[in-house]
Amino acid sequence: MTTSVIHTQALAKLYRTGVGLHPLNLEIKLGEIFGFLGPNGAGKTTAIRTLMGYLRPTGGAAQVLGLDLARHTREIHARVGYLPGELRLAPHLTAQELFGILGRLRGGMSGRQVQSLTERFGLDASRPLGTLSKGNKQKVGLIAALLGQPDLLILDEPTDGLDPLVHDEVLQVLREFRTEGRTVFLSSHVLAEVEQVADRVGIIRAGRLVTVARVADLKAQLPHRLEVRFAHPVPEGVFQALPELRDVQVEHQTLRCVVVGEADHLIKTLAAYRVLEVRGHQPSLEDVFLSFYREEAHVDSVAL
Amino acid sequence: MWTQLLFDDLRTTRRTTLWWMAGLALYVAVSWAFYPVVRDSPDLAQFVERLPEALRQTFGAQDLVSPGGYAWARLFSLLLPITLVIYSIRAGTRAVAGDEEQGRLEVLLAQPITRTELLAARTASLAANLLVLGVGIFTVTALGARLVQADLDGARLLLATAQVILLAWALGAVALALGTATGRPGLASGLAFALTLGAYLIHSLSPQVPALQPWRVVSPFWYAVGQSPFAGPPDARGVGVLLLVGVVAVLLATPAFLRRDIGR
Repeated sequence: MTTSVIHTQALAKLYRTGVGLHPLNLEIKLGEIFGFLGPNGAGKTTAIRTLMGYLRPTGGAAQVLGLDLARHTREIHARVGYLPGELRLAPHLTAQELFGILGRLRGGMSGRQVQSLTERFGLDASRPLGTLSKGNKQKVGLIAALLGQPDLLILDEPTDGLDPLVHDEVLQVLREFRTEGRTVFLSSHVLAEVEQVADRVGIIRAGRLVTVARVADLKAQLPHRLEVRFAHPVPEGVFQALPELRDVQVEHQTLRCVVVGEADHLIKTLAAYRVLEVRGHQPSLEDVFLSFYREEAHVDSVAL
Repeated sequence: MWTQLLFDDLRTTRRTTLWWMAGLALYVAVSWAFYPVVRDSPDLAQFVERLPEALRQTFGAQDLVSPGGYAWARLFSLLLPITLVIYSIRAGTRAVAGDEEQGRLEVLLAQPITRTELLAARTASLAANLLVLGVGIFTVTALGARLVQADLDGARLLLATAQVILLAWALGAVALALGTATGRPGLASGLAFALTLGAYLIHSLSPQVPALQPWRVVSPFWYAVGQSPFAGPPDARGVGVLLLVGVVAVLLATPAFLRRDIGR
């Protein structure tokens, strides 16, 4: 058994207009939650729909759960739970009926699993889907994806439209899913949620994968903003001389600066003074994201 | 697995089909209710005889008075086939392209089923719905005829029903095939209806326009309602042609369906 759950080799879906998904090389490992990040229109959905076999790739190849995407769609789908980005359900069916249909297509499902999930998400499964709010429909889609114990979840914007409580419950379900040794591939433009659950993230911009990294590593690359309060005024020049510091400001007894890279020099310099307080600001994925997007002037207008 | 898909689709479509069935049954029943009036009216028989031959042929009104002639003129020559074709093109368009445009194939195709299975199930569902309508039409017509003491030949009624149902099948399958190959419901129903109108034009004009006569064999109407199954020697060959046209249309669309993108 291979440990790579999704493996793409230059998988591409390019439209005649030049937009779409540029050759994508990606490896998702067994048992991880992978966050696929990018603003709307960056190509997340195109990539996911290509991986699901809805869109025929214009180049490259992909294996999902060790099976070739082009030849084993049925076998792959038997082990994958999928939530589409734009979920449309037959309005006259109830959630219960829909789960019944999908369960039969998957060759049997456990009623207990459906019941525990509907209770957990607080869903009334007896109402026609057409009468449900956006958030409740999203719950239906999520439960549908979780039916039948898939080995891999592919979720396109899973928390879209959910209220904060259900949102957290969904993230919790994903963590439990991972605990059982299964894999989640989710896309999002909400960085905070990906930061909460994902082990690794891939950032996609204009159809190209810009970077793949562990969330912790990505954050480590980021400059840390630091604020140090001293018992007595300190000379500004001492800190300006440190190469790892940027944006150095000294006001009375307070130093504000940005640390890039190692903090060793700074700590040793600080040791010479009486420090009352050190405050750091955790860089968020938002900062990572923005820094990647700012690098390119022509994407400044992209709405985040 | 595709039978499961078929059952689920039949459940989705049954309400629509039953309403159409109710409308058709009502039309058939009311037609028979007025049969005694027509039969017992000597004026009407004479009136029909005085109509120009071309007009009588066009409207299938050679013989309005015998049970078979009445059933042909009132039901099977024009109104039932046209209504069934409208039903069938609508249903055929919805089967794949319509559902796809509504985004409803997305969750379905995420299940362990192939596109071929989906297409087979949706095609079989169209056929099954038409079969239900056919059984309904046959039953209501036979019952209605009996209630007004019209002696309608059962075998000829069966042939007449099969012909109009298979006409609807052929054109509905063309709509389904066009939608399946392109994913565009508007194009599918538009082209299928245009085809229907063109075919009907050839069929209805060819008795009078000699130039069109060689062309009538390309019109599905020729095989379905080219001549009354209630008069002359019965000929079931047209039924086979129509069945084949529908099957071939769907088969031809299959490779394009497997190649193309779903949704967009």
